[in-house]
Amino acid sequence: MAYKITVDQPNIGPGTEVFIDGLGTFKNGEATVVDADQANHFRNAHGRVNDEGKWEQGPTLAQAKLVGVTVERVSDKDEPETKVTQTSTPPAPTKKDGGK
Amino acid sequence: MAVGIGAGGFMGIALETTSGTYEAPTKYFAFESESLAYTQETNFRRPIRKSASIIGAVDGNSRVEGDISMEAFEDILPYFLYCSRVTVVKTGVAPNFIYTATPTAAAVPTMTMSATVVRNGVAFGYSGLVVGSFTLTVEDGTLKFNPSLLGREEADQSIPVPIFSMTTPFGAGKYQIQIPTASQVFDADGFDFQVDDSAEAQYRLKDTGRGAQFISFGERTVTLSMERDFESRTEYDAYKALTSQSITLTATKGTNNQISVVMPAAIKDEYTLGLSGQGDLIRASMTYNGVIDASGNDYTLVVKSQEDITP
Repeated sequence: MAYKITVDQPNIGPGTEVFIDGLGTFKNGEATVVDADQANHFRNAHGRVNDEGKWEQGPTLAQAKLVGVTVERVSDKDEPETKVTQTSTPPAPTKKDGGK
Repeated sequence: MAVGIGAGGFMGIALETTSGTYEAPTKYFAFESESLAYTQETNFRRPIRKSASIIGAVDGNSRVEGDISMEAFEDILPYFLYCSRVTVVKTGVAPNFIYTATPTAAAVPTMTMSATVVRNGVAFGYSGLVVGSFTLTVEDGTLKFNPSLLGREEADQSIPVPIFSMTTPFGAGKYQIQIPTASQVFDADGFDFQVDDSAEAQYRLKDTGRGAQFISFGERTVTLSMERDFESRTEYDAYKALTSQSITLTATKGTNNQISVVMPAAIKDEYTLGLSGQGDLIRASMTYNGVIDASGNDYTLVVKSQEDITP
């Protein structure tokens, strides 16, 4: 599940960077789409070992209380170019691209 | 629950709309250590009843108290100033604001804050917090802010997701110290500015909770200590003559990102120097007491920041 994250913190100027724990750096006043991998990383980052000693996932982005941040679910086709971080390596060239 | 270390912890604060009523954090910041604690004055019973042991416990008054040690950030400091014994005047227009804090003789603070501290995945919500004293010091080149807080209650809270400010601290090469104000000197170090408003938790008879009813202030003491290279009798003679001096330290990262500490009428309380060893530089150690100037202020703090606080 991808999400659109819009930071809207009235106490800081537009364009000021904030760091959302488990998600990354965002600019105030701007919307960014994060992909499913990043959303899962957020859940892991806020997970914990419960009283029974078992791992418990943290809240989803939609469930988390993010003060001054609007979280909207978006469909996969809206997962675009504007990801927060570029973590993946470029795909290997295909024959079509001139590769072997 | 597994064991944890400090690295996983975090803290957030919020100014309270109603004093003593907890509010979820709206501002998070990095800090070096904290010791906020719920303290209760339990009465352990030792009446005479054929026993030499404690026979039980009765509820006593409770409060919150503790210190925070952190780097001084110009976007965080104003929040604590609003909960100190000062009047904060905010000027400027977006995106640059100036917060000027001048001390008052008020008995109680005009504003309180809530702090949420998460330790090993467990949230502690402290409410009714007031800054009873604080220090601004330069340690190893970094400007540090250490507020001591007193508060009213603590309760379990849901764990928030922190959204941290990316503001950087003030480091070496960012300071201008003026003694007297407007005359910059280059022979001083060890700047240690302290304000103590003698805050006390006040308990009242009531039927809801055991926490302090409010936090009161008492006498204020403003001190500054530093060391300077000893080159002449000028400062020593000023010490003997109880000469008042204006001292200003400005930490700056730019025109609109500054923290200034002004003592408009400081008088030296101590001035010591000696020959401590063959290879030792001869330095004078001095402590100032802040005295009020003609406008009644023993200190002023001016913070320039992009943080837009609407209390």
